Amino acid sequence: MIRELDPERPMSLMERRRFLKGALAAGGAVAAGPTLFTDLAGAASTGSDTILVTVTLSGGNDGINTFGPFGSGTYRDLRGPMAIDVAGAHSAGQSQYFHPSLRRLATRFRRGDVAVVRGVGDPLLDRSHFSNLARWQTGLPDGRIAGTGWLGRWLDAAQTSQFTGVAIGGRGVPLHLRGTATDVTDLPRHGGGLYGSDRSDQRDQRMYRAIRQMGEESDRPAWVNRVGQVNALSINAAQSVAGAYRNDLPEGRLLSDMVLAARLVNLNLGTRVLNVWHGGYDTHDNQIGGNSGVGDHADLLTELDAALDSFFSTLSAATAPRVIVMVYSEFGRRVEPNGSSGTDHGTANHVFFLGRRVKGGLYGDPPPLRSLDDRGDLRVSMDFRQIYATVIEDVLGGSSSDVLGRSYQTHDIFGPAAAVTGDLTARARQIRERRERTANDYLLRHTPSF
Amino acid sequence: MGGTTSMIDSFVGMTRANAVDRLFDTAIPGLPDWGRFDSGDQHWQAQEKMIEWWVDRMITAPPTIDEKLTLFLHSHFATGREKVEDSRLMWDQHMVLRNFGQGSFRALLEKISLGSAMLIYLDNESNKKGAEQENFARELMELHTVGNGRFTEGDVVAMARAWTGHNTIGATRENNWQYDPRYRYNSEEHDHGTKALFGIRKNWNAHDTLDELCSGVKATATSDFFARKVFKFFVHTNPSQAVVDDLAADFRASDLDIKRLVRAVLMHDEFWAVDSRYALVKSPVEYMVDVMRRCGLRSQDDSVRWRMEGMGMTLFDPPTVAGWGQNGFWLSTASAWTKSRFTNNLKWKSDERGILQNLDALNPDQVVNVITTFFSIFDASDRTKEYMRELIVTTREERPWAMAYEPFAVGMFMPEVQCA
Repeated sequence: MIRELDPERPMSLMERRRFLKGALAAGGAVAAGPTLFTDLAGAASTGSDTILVTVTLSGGNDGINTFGPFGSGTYRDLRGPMAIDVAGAHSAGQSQYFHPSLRRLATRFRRGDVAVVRGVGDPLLDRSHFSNLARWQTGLPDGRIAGTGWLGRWLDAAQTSQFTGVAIGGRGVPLHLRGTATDVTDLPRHGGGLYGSDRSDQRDQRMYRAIRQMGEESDRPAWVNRVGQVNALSINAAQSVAGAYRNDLPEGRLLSDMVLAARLVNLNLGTRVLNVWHGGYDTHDNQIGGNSGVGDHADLLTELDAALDSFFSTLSAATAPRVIVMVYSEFGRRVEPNGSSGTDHGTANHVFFLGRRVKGGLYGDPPPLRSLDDRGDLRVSMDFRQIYATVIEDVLGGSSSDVLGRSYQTHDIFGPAAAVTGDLTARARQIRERRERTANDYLLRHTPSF
Repeated sequence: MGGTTSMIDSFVGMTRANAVDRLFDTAIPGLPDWGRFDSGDQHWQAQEKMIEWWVDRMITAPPTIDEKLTLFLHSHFATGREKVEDSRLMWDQHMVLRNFGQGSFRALLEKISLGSAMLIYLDNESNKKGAEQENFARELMELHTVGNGRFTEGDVVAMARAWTGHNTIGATRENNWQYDPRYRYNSEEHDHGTKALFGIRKNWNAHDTLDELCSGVKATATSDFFARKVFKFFVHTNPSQAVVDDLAADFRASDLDIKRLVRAVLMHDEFWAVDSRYALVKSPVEYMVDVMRRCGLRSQDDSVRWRMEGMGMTLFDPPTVAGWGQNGFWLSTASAWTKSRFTNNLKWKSDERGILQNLDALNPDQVVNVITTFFSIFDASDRTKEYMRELIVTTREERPWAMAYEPFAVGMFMPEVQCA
């Protein structure tokens, strides 16, 4: 009766082996059983696995005003009072600009640590938050929405501990991290007094033992078993992450979540994928105020810019080279503003990648502003699943077609995996490669069609 | 919302129909008016008072369908204070859910759609001819009536046009540019042109669209969507299409009478089936209310508003326009941590109420029995009982004064107590 617990389409043993082979070949992790992870000591990563942090801009970020040709006449005509003024914006070369609020992101871009992928979207778009976000998070062909997400299915085979996948913010595990056999940990930003984690005497151990024991029973109704498992996992988790909360987190929702994410990565618990939410991008009204530097959207991007910066500055020297941040949103917004100083749901959007392994520059074909679809929306030029395939193949390790249900084109966005700390030769090679690929190579790869 | 063991006992021996009828026939007097929560401009404080009031009402209510159905409808017609920014409007909507929630779905849908909270939450307040705003139009179909995949993008455009002019009064010169959230139909802002909605071309206006959704070409889709959701909320999350078809047909035959639908769901064989026991994970509010009622506690005994947030379910502030999910939606480390702190506090508060005082005198097997009975877990597994017994024995040896506290806290945390 309770099919919700059953796998959407369980991986066969064969598929699982094939997947693992791919994961291992790419330096990935060893798979563990689908139940409780007790051997946390064995979970520490090899020290060179790349870590992916997805930043979900929830509500549909207005990509057009986040990064674009703010100086172009077409842009100014179409966006009217909502157009961003070039004067305050940050140039990315080739007549492209970052929003005035994204100063630090622009600096990072000029350093060569940021990739902007344009025109990414869902060819089946229906402009609903929920089905779009669900499709983005599911990542299966033909717009199928399932109970599992793309990173969840990757975790199903690659997970080694309850910290392999982590949701930050205490809002539950987002769909894209949900698998059929994964135990993703959800870390709230208020850590004080975590169950078990701040106890120096062992006085509650008796209770913990009873709760853990009840979590291991398997002959009760399915949801009772599942709740029992989560109870047990939560006790183990609290004790493992106490260090991330030892010092106060900064004020501010995204800022504190990003710093928490960085501290968790620094704990080296074998974490490979994390998600951080940033809500409020559904700017149907008051997106913009009197000039381009104010309004809800500017405030959101200011928060984002500061949080991304703090994230990287919190990472330890050992972990920083291993981390890639992916910033995405479920859809973009309509080109033409609506009647309430805002924008309605749109289509194609940018995906941003940040990190030292990123080959900085512009990717994808920017959808032309002069050739919109019949709803006045940008035309999608890249299926979002190509992004996932690229991330799985080149960042996480594994077979993208196993995770995504078919093969997709991948893009050459990422450099070789970070050197193990102390490997100066590899680090020197990285620096040389970065120098070689400045401006002319990547910035000129795609000519804007505006 | 659960019930104490003595409450459950009071239903023993009744027929299904009698038991279900009692849930509908129990009227609870005494709904307060807004003045009870009014905190001037500090709407956040008003929300906190509303939350405490509702939790206490859920705790103290006799067995009735009112509270649980209102909770369901709050999630179905999700709106949140964070966007509405006015707790008074949330309270007004809450009253609509209570006063119309057991009548005609069509009437409730209209009251909600034209209510200030929804007009603001889904932006129809600014949906005007020439500056259409599609947010409400889309969610009206996707979330409130037919469900996704049962309308086209063209329907969204037509629906938005049909709802133009159904705005709030807004900020006007006469009112010194103070925002007035009351509903107003502005004929001059309405698009009186012909629109093609659901394949029908005519001069659609808001009320016609609700008729079409509830009794016209979309009646089957709407009844299917709503009946399935009610069944999933009260019984289990995987109803067969045949079960939903029967419920939906009956729902349509009654002109979408919500009480009749909910009654049919509660009378359903699957609701009474043994397999349906523990098929749902209690939502945080249901869990908190259940254990606080058993322990004789009230909202003032705990920081309920903060606990709710930590467990991911703040009343009057659902996370998205889709409301709250079910089962796996509630399971996370963060939520379990908050839940454990909640139980930790409740064990002390329960002791202050004298609930634990007799446990010291009992032998371990008796204590196990008392605790599982206290939480109405009559079918705990032998192993669970054995683990509990071990805990009682070791606590008695190592920390005698805590002999009652620790097993009681673990009992509150038992997986079965967290399921329904």
